[in-house]
Amino acid sequence: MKQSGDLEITNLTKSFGGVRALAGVDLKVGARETVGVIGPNGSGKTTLFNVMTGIVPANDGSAIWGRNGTDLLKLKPWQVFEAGVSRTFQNIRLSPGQSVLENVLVGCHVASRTSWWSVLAGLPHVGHRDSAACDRAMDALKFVASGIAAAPHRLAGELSYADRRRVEFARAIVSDPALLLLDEPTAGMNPRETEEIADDIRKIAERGLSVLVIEHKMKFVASLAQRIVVLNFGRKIAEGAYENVRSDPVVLESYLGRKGDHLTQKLETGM
Amino acid sequence: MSSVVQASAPGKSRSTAIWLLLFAVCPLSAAIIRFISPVQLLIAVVVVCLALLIPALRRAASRVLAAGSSPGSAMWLPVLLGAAAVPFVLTPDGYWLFVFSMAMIFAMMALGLNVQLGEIGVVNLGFAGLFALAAYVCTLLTLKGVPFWLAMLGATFACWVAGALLGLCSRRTSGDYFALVTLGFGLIVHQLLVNLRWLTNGADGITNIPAISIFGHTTKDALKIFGLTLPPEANGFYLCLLALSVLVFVALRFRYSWVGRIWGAMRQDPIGVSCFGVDVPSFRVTTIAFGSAFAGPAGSLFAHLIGFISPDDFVLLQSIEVLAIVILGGMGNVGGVLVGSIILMVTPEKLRFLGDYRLMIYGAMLVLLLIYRPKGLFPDPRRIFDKA
Amino acid sequence: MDLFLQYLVNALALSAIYALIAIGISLFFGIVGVVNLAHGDIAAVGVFAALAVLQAVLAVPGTETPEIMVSIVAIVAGGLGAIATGVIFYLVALKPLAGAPPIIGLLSSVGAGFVIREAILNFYPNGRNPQSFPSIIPPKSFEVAGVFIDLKQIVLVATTAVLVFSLTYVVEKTRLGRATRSILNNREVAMSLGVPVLKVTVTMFVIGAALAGIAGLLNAFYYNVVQSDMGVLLTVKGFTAAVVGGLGNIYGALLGAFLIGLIESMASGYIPDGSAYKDVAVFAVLIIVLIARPNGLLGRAGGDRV
Repeated sequence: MKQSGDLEITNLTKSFGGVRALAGVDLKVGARETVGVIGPNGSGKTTLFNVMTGIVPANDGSAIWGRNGTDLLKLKPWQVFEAGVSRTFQNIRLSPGQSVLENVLVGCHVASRTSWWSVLAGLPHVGHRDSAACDRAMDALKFVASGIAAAPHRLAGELSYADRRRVEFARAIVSDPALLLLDEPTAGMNPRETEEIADDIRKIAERGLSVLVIEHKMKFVASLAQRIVVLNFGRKIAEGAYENVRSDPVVLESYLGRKGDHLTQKLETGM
Repeated sequence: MSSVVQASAPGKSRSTAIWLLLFAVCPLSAAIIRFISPVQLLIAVVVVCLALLIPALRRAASRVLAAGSSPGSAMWLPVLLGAAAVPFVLTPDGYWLFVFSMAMIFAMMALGLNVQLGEIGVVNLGFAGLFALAAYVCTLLTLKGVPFWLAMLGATFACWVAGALLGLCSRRTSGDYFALVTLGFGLIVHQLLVNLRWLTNGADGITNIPAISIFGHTTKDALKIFGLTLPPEANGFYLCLLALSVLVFVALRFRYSWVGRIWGAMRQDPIGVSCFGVDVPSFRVTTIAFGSAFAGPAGSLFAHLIGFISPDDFVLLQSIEVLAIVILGGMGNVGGVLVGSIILMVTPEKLRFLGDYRLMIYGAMLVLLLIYRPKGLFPDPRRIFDKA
Repeated sequence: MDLFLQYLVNALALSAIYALIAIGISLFFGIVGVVNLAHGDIAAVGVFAALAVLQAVLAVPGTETPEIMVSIVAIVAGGLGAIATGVIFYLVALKPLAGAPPIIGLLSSVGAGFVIREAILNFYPNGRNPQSFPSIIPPKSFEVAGVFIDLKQIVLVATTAVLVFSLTYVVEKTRLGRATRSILNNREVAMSLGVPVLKVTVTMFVIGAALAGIAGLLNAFYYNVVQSDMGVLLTVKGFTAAVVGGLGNIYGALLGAFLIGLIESMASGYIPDGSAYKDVAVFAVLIIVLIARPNGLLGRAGGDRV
């Protein structure tokens, strides 16, 4: 475990051209806490993750993380990772032409890398670190899906959609992060598979890390998260336990389009 | 895939047969290329290309090449021994040994470009500039009395530095800009070679570059092995073979280490890997510098084997030749690159009757390849998910 | 001071050439997403087409300077040559690559440029050697406040100015311009909205290639020497201008071209033996700009697509 600690996001703002994807979001994740983020399509959930991990620069705000109080927004993606934050992607970013094992190994690259000179010279520690990394990667794979772990040399691109999500999950946890960002980890999965992933997330959370999970499936989030944050149009419109959020009239209106608002309907079905 | 590599399974006779076959590949093809008529060679090339239109055959060929060129492969030894036997097959004929040496020199550069273009997908149009840098640095150093081996190291280092500087331009910009910078680099190096007369002797070039000497034996002496006298060009052939083997070894060592893993992941999804602790821009710079260093031995050997260099040896044409080798041979496939360099650097010697049109055919072939076979004749079989 | 003004005038003339190339490269890049490294070679074809006409006429005994009609025919031939090359280039080397990564298109343009250069070298009579290009514009010059301005410099700048104004008009005011901008924005969407994408793309290649041809001709008028590989340097400088200004931006291309012209003329003027190093100076500026401001001087900072 690296540094476990709180994440405190304040006034996070990001606009793309004229569209405000995030309009001053405040969000806290405590140590060992699992927080769910829900909201209709286009409400800024994925942008939240992309800004936090340095892929997209923020316009304003801060994301103070860990005991050292580093501002994640000032870091490059790889520095964010080295600060102990790992993630998955909504649209699965594996390299399809590499094996499952190689994809997971990328997740523990920081621990296994050596200098180029030692690779050139073929020093023994290069091999040692590599095999240690392979062991860790296999452990992570077995933890996520024993079926995939049985054939670690299959190309990632040949796997089913659900299995690719599982490999991504393995890659995200293999480095033992302190904060795990999961972007729709069960998209495209059937109820049974969804339940398996939920179990995995619970098990991994018990290891003592903080989890921030974006999801559409209300029930799934409710079963995992201690707290739920609802975003719409880049703003936080509600926060609290599932029971409270579910009955919040603002949430119902935005999420379910209670008033028959065409725009929200459109947002629901996807733009 | 493995059945080819671990041929020992069914029986000893079969594995011996395969071993002999692999041993015979180089001398046999060298002899064929040397002795058949140009028209026959042209037909042979066309037949091979047509055969490769059959998907199953193509897949098998690229599998064999890819598996054969993995580091633990048992195919290296017989092929290498076979290559070493080539001078004995061609023996009285020094010219063809020289042609094969040049092919190996270009193969060295293609290995370097393969790291850049094949592994991480950046287009370097200035390899001739790096080649020139190596040739001139090495030559100027040896003319100052530095031993060839040290001078070659110096030239390699110079290429590494130049590559790193070029790579800096790729840090925050798209691949298109890197292509422009390298294209400009190639032109600028040529202009500097012409204009910095006090250093490079301008357009007249540098003549009388000393031969490489090993324990008093120079590359201009006839080579005597097993009582056979080989022409002086055999020295160059063996030096190039040695250098090429070392570079292949280095390329494979990196390819099958964590570095190669990150290359593959980075090419397919740079943003994805950047979220797992890979400083993608810096890694790209290091990789470009690494690939550029391959021009060092190539340029050094080129200068000393020919004995005369001038700016006109290092123009855009050479950059495009190296590019064509990688694209034809198969991006990311070390074995494919070696085959590509033989096809592109040796057969044109035989096709001299095409005169100057062969260069035009070169360009047209490049366009056709990119349209119909963007991954080359023998792509890395794992690239089924790459668009190109 | 006079010397400086003199260099400024020279710079303007040079930048007139580079601007047309830069705009053409920008245009192609916008419309097909591919950097065209054969752009200068398209220009070279135009130049040699015009040269063919001029040489044919001058071969007749008794003609020394080309008449105005002949010049016009030559210029039209040059334009047509470039246009034909540009369109064939698009249809043969770029169109079949639709859907492939842009780097493949770039490589294809490298191959195509190579074919064009070698074709001129092999098929044009005496194409292997530099040839003199007859001076169509009378070698007159005017003295204004101690600065010498050649007639050809005026012609260069005026031609480019007219062309750039017409182009901005076309892009901003006409139906064709709207269609183009919609394709620049999003090719798929434009196609689904019924924009005749192929027609518009080919039209833009016609325009871009014509600009290239004219740029090549201006270059030939200016230096009066042409050779088969003149295109490479034109490509590099035009592309550099486009990149320095910010790719995909007409005004950026103008600014970039002016800067490149300025550096070239200053380098040749102020540095001793500088004309040998003017291209080196341009290259150095390119590298500095790419490292310091990767999106060009007028370019917007855009993140990677996620």
